Amino acid sequence: MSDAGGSAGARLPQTFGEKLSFAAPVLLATLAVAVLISFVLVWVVSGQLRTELKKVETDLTTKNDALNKELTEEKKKTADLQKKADELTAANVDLNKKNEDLKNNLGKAVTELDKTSKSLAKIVTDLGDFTYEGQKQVDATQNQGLAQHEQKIKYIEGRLEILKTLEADVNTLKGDTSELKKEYVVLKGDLGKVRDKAEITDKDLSDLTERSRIFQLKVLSARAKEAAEQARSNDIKSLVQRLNQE
Amino acid sequence: MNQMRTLGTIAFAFGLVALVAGCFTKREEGTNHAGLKAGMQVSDDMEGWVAVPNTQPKEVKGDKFTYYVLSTHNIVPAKLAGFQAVSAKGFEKLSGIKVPEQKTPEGELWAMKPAGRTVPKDKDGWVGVPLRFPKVEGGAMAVLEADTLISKEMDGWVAIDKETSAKLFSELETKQQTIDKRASEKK
Repeated sequence: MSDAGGSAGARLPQTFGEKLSFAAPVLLATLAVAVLISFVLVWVVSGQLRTELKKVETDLTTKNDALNKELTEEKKKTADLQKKADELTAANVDLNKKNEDLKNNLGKAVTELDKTSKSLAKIVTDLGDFTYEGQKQVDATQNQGLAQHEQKIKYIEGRLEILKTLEADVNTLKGDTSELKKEYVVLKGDLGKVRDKAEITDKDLSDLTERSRIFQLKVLSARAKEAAEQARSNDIKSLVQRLNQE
Repeated sequence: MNQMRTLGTIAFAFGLVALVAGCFTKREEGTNHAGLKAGMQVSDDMEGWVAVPNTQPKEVKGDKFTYYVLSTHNIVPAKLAGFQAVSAKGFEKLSGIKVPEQKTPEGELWAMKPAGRTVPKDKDGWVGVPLRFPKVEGGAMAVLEADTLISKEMDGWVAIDKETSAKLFSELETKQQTIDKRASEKK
């Protein structure tokens, strides 16, 4: 019964020809798809190759242009150098000629100079003694000037040393010493300025001496006043320190 | 007769009270010391005090100022309270005045204890004070307080008032600074 039912359905191809014609549409479709894919792949790869080739071509063109430009410049430079070389050669020829002339003239001049130098030697000998004495005097005056300057600098440095000891005094004072401190800074600065001057005048020195002296007296007075205050306030510890000062 | 007896009893009682009251040591008014008399008894509040002979610093009138030379166990009188005591060496440096060395023998300190102890005859006229000495700073100076005892360390020291001290210290400072200044200028 079942066999009878099966034979009643769609009939399957039996021969090769029938089978081929049955599978033909599928095969053709598959082939077409394969061809299409191959074409697409070839198209993409060739596109990339074309792009790269174009890029390489552009680079080569640019480099070529640059080289051409450099070549032109070099040619120009070479031409300039050639021109200069020609000029120098011409100048050299002139110089040679002049040199020859000079040689001739020099021979004459040497003979003349020989005579002159002999007479000059005598004058130099005569002048020698005179110059030596004159220079000696100039040196002595300069040395004296330098010694005086040095002495003045030493004097100012001495004042600065004294000021340094006074700074300690000012700092140890317990009262309000701001004014004294300010004055100290100004005076020290002025002493330094004068010391560094190229020309230290007597007026500079006397002014600074007077100012230093007044400052010293002010410090001295402040210390004396402080000592008196300590005595009045029974600050025995400080008084003992003062007593023990050498 | 009875009245006479009553009066006699009252007089005896007064006498007894006066006798007992006079027997105890007593501070002099406004001070911190007590004069002793033989036979007195040490009062409770003075137990532990000491008694010394009644000696005071010696006053010396100089040309420019007056000063007081201190000796061991002097009692500082009220008028010298607040004065500054300076060692003889320090005083010489300050004023240029050389004070002769004292060498006061260390006298006896009679201890006033226990309370009720009777003052012996040889201590008659002595003065009792609390056992306190002026505080010495740096072995060279001290400030004096009334009714304190001068210690052996301060024997021969000199007391001067604050104004004199201020003047002398001011002069000393000026003198020292001037010497320093000259020395540095010579350099």
